[in-house]
Amino acid sequence: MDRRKFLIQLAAAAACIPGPRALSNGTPRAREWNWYGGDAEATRYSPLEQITPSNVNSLKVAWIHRTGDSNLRPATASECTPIVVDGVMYITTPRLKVQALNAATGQLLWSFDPAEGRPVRRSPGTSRGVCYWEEGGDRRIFSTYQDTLVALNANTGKLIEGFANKGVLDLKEELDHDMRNLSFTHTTPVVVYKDVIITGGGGGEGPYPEAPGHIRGWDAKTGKRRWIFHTVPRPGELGNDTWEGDSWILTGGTNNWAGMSVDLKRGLVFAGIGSPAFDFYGGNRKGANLFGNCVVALDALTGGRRWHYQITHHDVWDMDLPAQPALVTIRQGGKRIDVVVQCTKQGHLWFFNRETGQPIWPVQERPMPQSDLAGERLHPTQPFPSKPPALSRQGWNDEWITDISPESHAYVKAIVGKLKRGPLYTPNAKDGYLIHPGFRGGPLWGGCSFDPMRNRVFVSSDETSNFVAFEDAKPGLPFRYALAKRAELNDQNGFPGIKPPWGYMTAIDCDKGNFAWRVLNGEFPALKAKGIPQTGCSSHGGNICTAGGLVFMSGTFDRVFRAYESDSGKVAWEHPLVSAGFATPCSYEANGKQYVVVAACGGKAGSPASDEFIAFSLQV
Amino acid sequence: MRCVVLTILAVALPLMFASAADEGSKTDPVGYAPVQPIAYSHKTHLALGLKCSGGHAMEKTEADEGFTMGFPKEAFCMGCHSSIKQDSPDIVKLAKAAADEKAVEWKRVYRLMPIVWFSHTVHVKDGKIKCATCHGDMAAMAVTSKARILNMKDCMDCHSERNAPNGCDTCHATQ
Repeated sequence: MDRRKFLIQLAAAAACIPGPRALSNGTPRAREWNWYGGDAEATRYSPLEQITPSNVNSLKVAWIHRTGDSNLRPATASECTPIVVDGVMYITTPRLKVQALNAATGQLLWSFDPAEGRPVRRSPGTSRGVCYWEEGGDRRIFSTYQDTLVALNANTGKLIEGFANKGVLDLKEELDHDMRNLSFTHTTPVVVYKDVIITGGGGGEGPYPEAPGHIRGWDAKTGKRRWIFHTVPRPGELGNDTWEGDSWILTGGTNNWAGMSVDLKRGLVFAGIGSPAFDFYGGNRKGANLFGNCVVALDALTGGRRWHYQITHHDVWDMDLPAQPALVTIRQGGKRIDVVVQCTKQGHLWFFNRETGQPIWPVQERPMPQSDLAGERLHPTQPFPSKPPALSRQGWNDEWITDISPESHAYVKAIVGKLKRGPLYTPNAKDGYLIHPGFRGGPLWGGCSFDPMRNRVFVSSDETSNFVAFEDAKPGLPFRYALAKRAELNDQNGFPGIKPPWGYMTAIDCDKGNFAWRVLNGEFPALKAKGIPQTGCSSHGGNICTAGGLVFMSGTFDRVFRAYESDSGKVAWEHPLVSAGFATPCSYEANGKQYVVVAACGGKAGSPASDEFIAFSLQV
Repeated sequence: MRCVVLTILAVALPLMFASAADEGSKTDPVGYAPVQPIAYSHKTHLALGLKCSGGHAMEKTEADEGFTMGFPKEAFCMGCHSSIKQDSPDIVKLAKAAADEKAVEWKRVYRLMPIVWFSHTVHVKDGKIKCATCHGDMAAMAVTSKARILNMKDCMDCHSERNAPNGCDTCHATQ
């Protein structure tokens, strides 16, 4: 065979190898799962209706992909929601590799390790998934790894040499802040509008000095910064006067850690912002502290602020906005309204007009008591939406102390008795104050899903409580109070200190703003064995809903993957997992078949670490 | 954000370790001194010139090289004890373990939770932290006991004092 003929045959053979681009099988992208939140709007809704309440009992494991990089000790975990584009699934693994799989079979196509060749010095961190972008034939996967943004060729998994520094963008740079000795992390996938990649992330929430969480737009091709929105505004910017003195200079936190959503039609990006640091004491940041705890709508091409709404003024309760805002179109009295739905740890779901930022239902600014903690000055009011009803009990009432046993009741009562407690937004207190809902909500980063046909929002929520106490900071530290105690209010066996229920799945009727249904979500087998009625339990990871009439949820601590009937809340299907699925699932079509996939990687809350991504489909 | 991690820890700890089967947890108080299968005295051995790194080598774990300091191999101990105190019941026990190539089942005094990513390499080699910072003055301990609780507040305070990173994912693979 001559050389030319050989090369032609080689090229022909190579063309037959099913690379990622060739796996689409004609499935429309709308029937896949192109974004972390399902779509740009983060509705977590799949239009697929192959799996229904009447056949869901035939849902079985179709394939399992083992990432091969989990550890038991120290434990890894995964909060990844896979995305699926053109028949290829893209995931992040427990040690934050990026992998591409055949979405129909789970076959590994490529794997990229951002830590390759480097010694392990710390935890790999967290990633909830990746973001896909394309322009012409240029197809990229953007993934965050600790304090970097990585751009990969979606076909090969190779770094894009022309992006930032050979494919890696250092997110600690160009933050308009002195980042010496500060850490930065980006856990939830970035979003993209046209050719602008939009990042959030930031530092922690103190009391130590922390990085701020300014939101930035980057050129998707080059990695050059296009714009920055200062979540702690600078002099001359709107909101700077809500930070007294020079507090805007040193305050960190105030970051979008739970992800953003994009209105592709309006060219707007929406973000929920977290608490300013220090998140339990604000004596060094007097004022309302915009844009902490705000929903912000920004022009996705320029970063210009369109509107904002502050849900907690001058937060000292760690009430981060903990979820992607969901951009949905609800029906009210026959009228369609484009809204933003923001879940909060307080247990409120806020509905805003997407154009104006005005709440859909009336809001009351209620007067609030003042703190007697030295140097603190709480905001005189806090806003309460009139609808929907709160998902959780709020504040504290001693009648809520757990009653699962006399021992538990006595144990918790003794703790509670030492704490300042009362209605929601009870002031911070040096010797300890009780916060309910606690740091895990209410809802958390799993957010909510929206079924446009049923006009319903589905949301899971917890009922756990926390308490915090302070001590004077050691001399020389740049803050007044350190944490003496920060803990969950539990009984002697680790069960929540509040009377059950401890976890719900709720459907909200968006027409009336009421609960369409509400059921307990999960249970503790140990308590069930003792004859205690179902309590519900905590969860990590959210739900998705499908046109087939099901709501899928896997994150409960009891390690059970469930499907609820969208119409009634009845549990239609359960599948026990070896390691819990502390992640939000996804659903997509490949080769004409509907799949539901979840990262079942455990690694916390008593569940052993694992490395399994499990796909389910109907077995007939 | 940090508080979510703290909450996970708070929930996970009691549910994971309610049985206390995993000895040497962070809930053991300062002074915790489990009875060891062999009455080993750090005080005696360090006085004889042994170094911490002589007995405890950095081991490769699931995470990477040097996350854990290991226990000494029995054969290493027998390098001296084949001719010193051979008749002591403890040394007889040790010699048998060495001959059987079976590890002595030491009771852990310190044990971090599985969700903590802590590397001895980073702290000892890179951070120049002395062993005594966390483990106390071993040269004074005839019986090994817990010198420090090593809970998250302790870790974070130490990081803060040294300008070390204090973000959640420095030590935890979850937010």
